[in-house]
Amino acid sequence: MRVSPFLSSVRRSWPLFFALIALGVTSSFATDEKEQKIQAKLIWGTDEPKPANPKIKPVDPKLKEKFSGIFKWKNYFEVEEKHFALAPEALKKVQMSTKCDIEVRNEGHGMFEVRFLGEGKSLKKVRQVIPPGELLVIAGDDKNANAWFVVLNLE
Amino acid sequence: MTTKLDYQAEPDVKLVQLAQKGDMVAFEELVARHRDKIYARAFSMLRNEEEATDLSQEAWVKAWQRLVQFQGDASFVTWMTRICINLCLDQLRKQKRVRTDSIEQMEEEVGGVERQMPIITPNPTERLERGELRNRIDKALAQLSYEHRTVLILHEFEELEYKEIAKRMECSIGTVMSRLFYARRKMAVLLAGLKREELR
Amino acid sequence: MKTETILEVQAYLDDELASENDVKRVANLLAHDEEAARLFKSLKATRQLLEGNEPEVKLPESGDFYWSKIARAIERDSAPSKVAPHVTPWWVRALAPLAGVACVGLLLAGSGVLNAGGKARSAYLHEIENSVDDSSGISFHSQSQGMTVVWVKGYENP
Repeated sequence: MRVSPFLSSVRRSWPLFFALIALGVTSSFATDEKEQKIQAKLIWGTDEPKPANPKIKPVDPKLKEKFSGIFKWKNYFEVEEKHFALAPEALKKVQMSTKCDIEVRNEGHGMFEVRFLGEGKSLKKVRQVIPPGELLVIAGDDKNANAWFVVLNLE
Repeated sequence: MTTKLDYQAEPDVKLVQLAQKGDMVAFEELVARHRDKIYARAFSMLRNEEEATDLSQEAWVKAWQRLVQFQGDASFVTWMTRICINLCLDQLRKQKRVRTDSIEQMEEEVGGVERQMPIITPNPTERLERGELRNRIDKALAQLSYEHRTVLILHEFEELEYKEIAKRMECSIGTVMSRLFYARRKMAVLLAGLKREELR
Repeated sequence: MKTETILEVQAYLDDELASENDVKRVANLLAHDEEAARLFKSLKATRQLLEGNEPEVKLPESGDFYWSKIARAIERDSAPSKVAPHVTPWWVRALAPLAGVACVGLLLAGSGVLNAGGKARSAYLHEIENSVDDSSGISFHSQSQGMTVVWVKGYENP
């Protein structure tokens, strides 16, 4: 059977074609396979003014603006800030306060499993893709109509 | 077949659940039930009808906006009253009424008043009609400075602990204790029917 | 009497003394010091007088008028709650596992797309597991603020 020169050239190119696809896929995975740096903050939302504790500082204005776009509290104070890195499939427990921890697993490809623990007890587990620049916020009511927020974002 | 909901017959808890889902009629019923109490709290703190009306309405709007946060740990009316109190405190702070407080307060701050005032024990068994007694209490409260009145209201009527009052009023527990003491002593004198001149 | 003692007597009345020792000490003082006892009696009587006798004040305008202003303000703010996470409808919850499967499928099939830009990774596609005593699945995503919020019920003071 006579094969056209075009098809013939395509047939000759198959190995190259697959190699290119394979390269593309592996490289795209490879970019996700690196260690991911994460920032976690414990924030307190309140209508009250700044607490006396000097360790507690107001959140940065950008975050305040984001929060004010959604939540109703007047003030947001940063109680704790943690930075950590997670290799793919790695799991890390991070203490946010004496009573609460988070367990974060890097599932790769931007997907994270975050478990929120209150006094050692698992209260919420979230599996979530955290796109760069976006925030994952686990929050709850605090006493006296205040609120707490655990904010995670990729660095 | 659907049965029409009788909002007036439903308990607060049910109305809150409905309002949390966006049912304005349920929220209106909650307002109707508790508007007098919320207004009264605002009035007791601000001592001004117009301001108390506006501010209590603002408290209701805020409550609607925050309704999903209501977990039912306290009763709805307690939760609502707390919102109203916080707004009143904000308002009073804005107005800086603290600057218009009387000389008596300054005396209190330096710790002199306690010793100047005699110990008066009002007689709780005195045969006063309840309405009249409340009227006298209202008049006596009006004579207190805003800070003393607020501490007294938060402690005696809202049953808040010292530390809770301190947090809300942004002062130390010691100041709360001192203000509460002064407020009680002054109320005792006023309720015992003594005139101000007799204090000195 | 010292100011400190005066305030301790009051704290005893209000059940606000810090320790059992303080309670015993003030109780002892009241038993032996006439002036302290007199002060305690006065404070207690005042408290009793106020108890349950808060002045009753009525709203100075009609209930309908009062409500109409509240309703207008709420309508101005439009949404029932700006703050609040919405409760996910049952059908969304029912379809959540499918969404999860679809999400995984998308991740695997389109890793190139996922790497192309953050916005392609929908933050809506999350899975939430609650603790046993908290069956509420309250969460929401804000596109404008780039934020997914998961609300934990019943846990205060972390």
